Amino acid sequence: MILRELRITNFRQITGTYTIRFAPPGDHSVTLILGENGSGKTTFLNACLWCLYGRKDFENPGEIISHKAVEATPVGQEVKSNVRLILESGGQTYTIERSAGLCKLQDGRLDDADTEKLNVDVTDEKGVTRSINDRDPHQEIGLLLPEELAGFFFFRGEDLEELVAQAGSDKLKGAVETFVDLLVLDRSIAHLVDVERNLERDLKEVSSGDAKRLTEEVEELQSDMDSLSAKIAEERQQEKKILQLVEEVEDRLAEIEEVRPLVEKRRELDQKLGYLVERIKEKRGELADRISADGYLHLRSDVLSVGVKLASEARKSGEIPAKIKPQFVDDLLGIGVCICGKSIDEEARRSLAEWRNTSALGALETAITHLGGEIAHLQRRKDMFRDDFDQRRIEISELESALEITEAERSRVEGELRGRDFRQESARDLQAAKNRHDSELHEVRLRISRAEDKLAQQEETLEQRRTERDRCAKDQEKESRISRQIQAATNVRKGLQKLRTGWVALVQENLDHELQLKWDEIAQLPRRVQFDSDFRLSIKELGGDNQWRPSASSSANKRALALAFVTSLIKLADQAQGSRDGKRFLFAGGQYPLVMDAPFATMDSFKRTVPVGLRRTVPQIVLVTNYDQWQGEVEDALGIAVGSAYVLTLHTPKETGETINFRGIPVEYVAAEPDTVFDWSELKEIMP
Amino acid sequence: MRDRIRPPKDLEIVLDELKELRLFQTKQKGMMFAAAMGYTINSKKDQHERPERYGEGIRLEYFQSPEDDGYINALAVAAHGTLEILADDRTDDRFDLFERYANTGLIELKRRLDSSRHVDRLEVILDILDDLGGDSQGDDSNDARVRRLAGLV
Repeated sequence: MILRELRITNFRQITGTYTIRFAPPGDHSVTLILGENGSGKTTFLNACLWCLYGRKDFENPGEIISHKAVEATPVGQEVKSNVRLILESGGQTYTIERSAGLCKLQDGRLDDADTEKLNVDVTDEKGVTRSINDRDPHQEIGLLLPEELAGFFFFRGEDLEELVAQAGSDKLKGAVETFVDLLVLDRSIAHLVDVERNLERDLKEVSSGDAKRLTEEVEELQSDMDSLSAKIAEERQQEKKILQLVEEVEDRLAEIEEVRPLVEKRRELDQKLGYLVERIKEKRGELADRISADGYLHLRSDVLSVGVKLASEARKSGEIPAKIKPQFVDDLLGIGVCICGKSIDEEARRSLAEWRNTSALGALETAITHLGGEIAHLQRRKDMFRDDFDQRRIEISELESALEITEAERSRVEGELRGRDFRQESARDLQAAKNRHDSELHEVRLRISRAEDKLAQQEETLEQRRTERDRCAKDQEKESRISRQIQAATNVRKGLQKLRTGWVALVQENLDHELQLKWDEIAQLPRRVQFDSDFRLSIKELGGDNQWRPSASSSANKRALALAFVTSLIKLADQAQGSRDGKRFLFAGGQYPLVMDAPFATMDSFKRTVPVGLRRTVPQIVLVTNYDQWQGEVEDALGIAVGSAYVLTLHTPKETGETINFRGIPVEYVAAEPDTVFDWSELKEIMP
Repeated sequence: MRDRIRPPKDLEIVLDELKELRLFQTKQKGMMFAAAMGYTINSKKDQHERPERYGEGIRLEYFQSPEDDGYINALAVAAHGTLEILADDRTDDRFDLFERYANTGLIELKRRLDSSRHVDRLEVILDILDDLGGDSQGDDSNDARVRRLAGLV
């Protein structure tokens, strides 16, 4: 999806009609929009999201139409707000236009009728335009860029921090899954579940005796499993809510002087525990890989020694190397004539045959020599494995000891927090709330774990019942046919579920790998960044003990991490498009822009590296920023790539005027307008 | 001549589970471990049954690329007690021996997995390596003999 043009009319502070032509992908792919604070920079972003999704994430969402435009409209006449976005995707051009028109009433207010209109036209590669309003235009836009993904590509600087905070949540997971087009797969799986259920019902109707009883049991089990799955999902939501409450209470506790040292200590220990658990998991994974590769050689046996021993004995006894090749003797016996031309008599034939019988190993000389080499190689692997295996187990054991000590320390601090009688009432209350939430959390987790165990048992029973039923139904033609159909649907569904799991894991691994590359490119700081299998984002740095530890949770770190993640997504989409060779397999991919409002505000240490990295990776950038943040490092990094530039001139009664200098040309940035009642802005192209 | 090694059909599920848990990266690696386990439990070839049914065969290339095929030959020689089993026309016999030991190993692996108190399956494998792993100590140990005879020392 590449942005071509945006036309805004009377939207929020922006009064009048203005058109932005976005710089296309290439060497000059950056569109710059400069604006003073309050000039409507965020309005520009909001205009895009309103146009695409009708979203009104701003204060006073009822006030879409510019106040100044309303003021200038005579009573009884309609005043309109309109945003038109032109974009390209998959070789087609989409013109998306949303408008709201309201009538100005006698008292100067606007009527509150809902008059929003959306119009979507598509122009194909041949230039033929057709309206798609007869289909669901919202759905069409959702196919271009699903709404839950918009936050990845249209965002304010502070939204980036929110993205990191969301990591690990179902929302981010859902958004990534939507991004990689898993919807089709999900629909197919859901459909197959329906098919299975319908067939089960059919089977119940036609079957009799044991088969009928088993079918009823299967149906009952499925219904129980559905309820249990729903209950687990509910409990998971409850778990998340409680976790959020725990975090809130902890934050508030940390604000109280008396409690802060203990709360901070507990957090530090929690962080260390998380780190240790992760390290143990990592080390155990490495150990499993090592065992997978060579663990079999570690099992006690004489498999390697027998081969070398027998080969050595054969050498000692002179069986190998054979002085005469057995094949040569075989040939002599076959032809019956010596190489000197004399025929082989009976006596010679007998001694040749005798020799041949005692030199069977001679024919295997190559294989035996080869086996010797293979055994030597296997022995080296075995020796290396033993050293590695011991070393890794020592490392894991050390980490487990550290975990045990840290857990004990954490429990001591927790005990102190729980048991201490704080002087301040608020601290007492908060700690009591924390204790309550902790036990609720414990309870809910216990319930989840029990329910999951029960579900696993039910799944097993379901399989057994189905197998028994299939056996019963075997001799009845109709029953047997339906049973086979159920089996086929189940197999396909399981296959698709497996494919889905595998695909999500593949995407996560790819993003994790790409994230580190992007981080290295845009942050240029020696950190280990991860997007783990729970879809959590993290940054770690090397501590004095040469171990990776979580980095400070600063705003700059979070923003750089979020940008590295978003650019990784863009790269993934680009790669998918480049590698599909005209065939669509799961994820179509494509190009995506980044539309950013003040993204570099708190990124002091990354102010130059991040924009340079973005310029290299992202096919199209729209940067909305104030002049102060643009000047200097950001301008040095992105200035060369600017293909189109605009200024939002703020007209205000409060300020004195201000002019900025853009590429040697003075540009009106703030216009003092003492007579105006409302702040309003106009957009001007400033690219020389 | 066969070009595949077949796991027992009824125990393929064990290999699948261990692969899904990432304890063995491939079914081929699971078969290697199972065959070595089978031999360690009982080296006498006649006491290892063939499975009733075979599962989907694993192509020989999958044993050759991680350089594990040498073990199939070494196992056959050790089980047979002669080098003649290395003859080209006895490839099927070597594969058959490997499959039989793997069958025994998988039966034992399944028994241990089913009866283990460990939830973490890696612990089960570690227990096996502790119980059945290592080598006898001293100069006459199998390892020392291999190193000496193979010219590694």
